[in-house]
Order: sequence, then structure tokens, then C-alpha cells
Amino acid sequence: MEIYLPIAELSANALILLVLGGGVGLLSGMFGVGGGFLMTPLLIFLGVTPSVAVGTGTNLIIASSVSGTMAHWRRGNVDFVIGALISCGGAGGAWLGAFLFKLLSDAGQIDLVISLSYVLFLGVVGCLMAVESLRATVRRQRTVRRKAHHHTWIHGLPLKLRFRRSRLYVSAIPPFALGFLMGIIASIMGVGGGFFMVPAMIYLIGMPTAVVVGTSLLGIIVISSVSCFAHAINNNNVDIILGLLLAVGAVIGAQYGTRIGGRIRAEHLRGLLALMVLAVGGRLAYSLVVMPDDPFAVAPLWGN
Amino acid sequence: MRRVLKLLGLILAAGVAAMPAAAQEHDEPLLIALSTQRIEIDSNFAGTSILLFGATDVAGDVVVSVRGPEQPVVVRRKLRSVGVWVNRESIAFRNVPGYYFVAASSPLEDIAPAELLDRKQLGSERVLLEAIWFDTSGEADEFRAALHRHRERDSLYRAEPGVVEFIDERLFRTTIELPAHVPTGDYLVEAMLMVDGEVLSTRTSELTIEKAGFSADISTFARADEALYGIIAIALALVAGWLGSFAFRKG
Repeated sequence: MEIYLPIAELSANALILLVLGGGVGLLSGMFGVGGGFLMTPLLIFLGVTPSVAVGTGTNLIIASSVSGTMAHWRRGNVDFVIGALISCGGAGGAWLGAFLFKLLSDAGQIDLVISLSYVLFLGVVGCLMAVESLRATVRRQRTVRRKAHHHTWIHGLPLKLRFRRSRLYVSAIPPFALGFLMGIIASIMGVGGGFFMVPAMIYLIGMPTAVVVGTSLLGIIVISSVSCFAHAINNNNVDIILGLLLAVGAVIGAQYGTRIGGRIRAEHLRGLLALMVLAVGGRLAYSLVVMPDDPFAVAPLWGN
Repeated sequence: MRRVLKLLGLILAAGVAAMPAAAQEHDEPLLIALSTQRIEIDSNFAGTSILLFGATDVAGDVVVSVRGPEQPVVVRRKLRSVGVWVNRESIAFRNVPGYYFVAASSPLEDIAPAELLDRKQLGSERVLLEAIWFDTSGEADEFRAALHRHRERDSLYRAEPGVVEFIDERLFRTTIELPAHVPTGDYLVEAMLMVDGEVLSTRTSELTIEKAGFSADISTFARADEALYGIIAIALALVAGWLGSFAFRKG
């Protein structure tokens, strides 16, 4: 069934979009990641403009993070106080990010910044995961337990609050700042940013692993909503039809992905995820360095 | 094809019948009519063509031009820096037509002197590309050529003029091809009767191209009421996610 995507200004097969969403949802369910970092580049490879890919990505992430958060909430794995702090910072960051996005668009540099951000983040995260996964596979017998609490400069910050669900007494600044940074990244890259937020919450704030995913998902709902709204009013790049079709596929796919993921050994799973992250980053890096077919690009000049 | 022929017959008959009266009324030796003046682009639109018919009282050459909606356009050039291809140079042009077509009954250069062709911007290479800003160490003409190349690739401009075909001494016609990615807006269709290298008579007609259907409504809405569109987008995604988790809770 051919359907015209009003904002992307492309005709596409609705069934293929559902399957595409389902595929990304399956992988994100398997690996426990949001899938934005897969979906946005995939849309760009398929011919959607980077701007619409990012704007629509933020829309899609709302849907997938809601269904994820509900699942964690039912198990009581959400720290609403830390979630609220991340959300407040995130809302500001997302708004700023969408504004920066517009400035970069007008300057003709947004495609480059999107690609470079992906190459940088995916490259670093992919390498870290690959190394970690290899290490874990090599010395699987002697598992080294990380100290639960070790004091760093983070614990010296003011505005300390007690977080009951996480059993923590830390400053409110790190979750807020983390959310702010996440918001900027989410708006510019069209991702939820779980791949970045989850390790930061564990290692920087010291949150217990059980509540990290649910809490970060709660933050991602707010961040992606604000980001989606800011993109819709600043950049006109949110395609409701495209977002909805991909979201339906992704939400269904994620349910099956979770089941498959449960059957694979954790370090192998992380190794596979690392390979996937590096492949996407590598493909984007290649398109940056290879000589373009046509060095010239033509675009309407807005705001004139 | 049969439909086109039938239409041609009808319009010709109407044109010939109306001709003496119309010519007297306006005192112009040139008349034109389009097969349609309004085109709706829906989700299945894959381009279309319209026919222009006309009649002249005076023997001469006819030049037809079609200009789409004008918009400022920026042409950017990527250069390699630190191993990465980056948009580094740009030139912006004022009032660039989103579509341009010209057709003539003889080669343009034989019909009128170059000075007149330039002044009337007849021929896609004569479309005026006036720079708003200049940010390059290279030649502006390279950017102009790139703009033409891109527009020709999308069939929005054509390198070679089309043909105005005379059916007999008085009646002529030409076909205007509109590709799938034709921009929406108001078009100006202009026909000129040229005799001895001068414009004897000019006729214009308007052509409107607009989006229609559900998808068009969405894209119009997204630009007209951005905030409400954003809120609806968020609400739909929240509901989709919530329904998804609800549907799978038991399963």
C-alpha cells in the first residue's frame, strides 16, 4: 500500500515501513536500547533528508519509550525523583538542541553535524562495548565485583537530596546536568540517548542497575516530547505518518526482541550490539570521507 | 491519445469560433488557451502534461514560456577539509523560478536578437540568476551551472527548448511537461508573437498547481499551526506507545 509521507515528501510502502519499524524494534528489544541511533541513520540511508529523519526520530522515540517505561514501572523500577530532575534538565537541553539545529540548518552544516555526532558517539560507545564484551568473554570465570560506592568529586557537590528508590544521597546537580546534555544530543541526533545515559547514571551518579533503565526511559519520554515539539515548531521536520507507522512496528517488534534477547548470553549480546553500533558509525564515516558524486547542493534559502 | 485528439478538436473548434469576436474585443492578433489552469497534486501524482493551444492573425513566430513560483535559492559547494567533505562555499540567488519551460516555433536565436531574448529571459540559460551573496573563491558561473544541472536532473528545467507546432497557418500548439516533483504555487504562462525580431503581441495565462488530499492537508496544517501539530504528534506517539504496552501485557 503506497502512502505519501507529507513532511518527508516521499512515497513509500506502508507495509515496508511497518516491517522496518518492527526490525529496529526487534533489535532494540533484544539489546535493551532505544533504537533511535539505528532508525535515524537508516532513514537517511533510505533517502529521507537528515532533518526529517531526526525530527521524525524524536516522535518515534516517544512511542517506544512509553511502552518501555510502562513495563519497568509495573515492576517498580522507576525512580521518579531522579527521573523528574533528568526531565527538567532534559527539557531545557532539548529546546536548546532544536534551536541549535535550526541555526546549523540555516548555515548549511546540519547534515555534517548529524553525521559527525553519530560517527563520534557510535565510534566511542561501540569501541568501549566491544572491548568490554571481549574482556568479559575471555575471563568469564573470575568476575570482578565493582565497589558499590566509591566517593568521587560528584559526591562533593551541593544541593544534596535523598533519593529513596535509588537509596542514594547525592547532589541534584548531576542528574539535572546529565539530562540537559542528553536533551541537546537527543535534539541534534534524533536519538533517545539511553546508550549514553545508562552508563552515566551507573558510573557517575552511582544508581543501582535495576532502576537505571526504567528511570532513563522516563527521562527520555520527556526529552523526546520536548524535542519533538521544538522540532515541529522550529524546523517543520516531524512527519506524523512516517513516525506513527514506524512506531507501531517498533513497539510490536520490541516485545519479541525482549524474548529473543533473554535467551542470548549477556556478553555475546553486548558484543553483537557493539558490532552493529560500529557498522552504522562506519557507514556514516565512509559517506563523510568518500568524494561526493556532486560537490554542489541546491537548497531553498529560508528566512529571506 | 484518443482523448487528447478529441480534446484538441474541441478546443480548436472553440478557439476558431471565438477567434473573430475575441480578436476584435482585445484588438490583439494572438490568442491562447490551456487545456487546464489548475492541477491538483495528490499522493499518486507522477507528473502530467498540459496542452497550450493558440491562434494568430499575423504570420510570425510564437514563443511560449512557463515560469514556476520564484524563491531565493542557495547553492553550496563541498570542499575537502581534514579529510571530510564539508559545505564550504555558497552563493545565494534571488527569485529563482522553481520551474522553467520555453518552447518556440523556430530556433530562438533565429526569432529574435540576443538582446531581446536576454531581456525577456527566454531560454533556460537566460533565466536571470542574480546573486544575493557571494561566498566563494571560485567562479559564480560554476554555481549557476550546478543549479541548472540539478534542476535539469529533476526535469524542472530543460536544456533544449520545446517545440511550438503550427497546425495550419493560424493555429499552433505546444505540450508543457510537468514532472513529479513540480513545485506548488502560481505559474505564469506567457506566449509572444514575434515578427521581424520584435514582439508584436503578448498573451498571458495563469496556471495554479496545488496539493490535494489527506497528505496535503497534513503538510499544510504542519506549517500553518506548528504548535498544535507538535502537540498532536506527541499525543499520537504517547497513545501508540501506551496501546502497545497494554496490548502485550497479557501476552
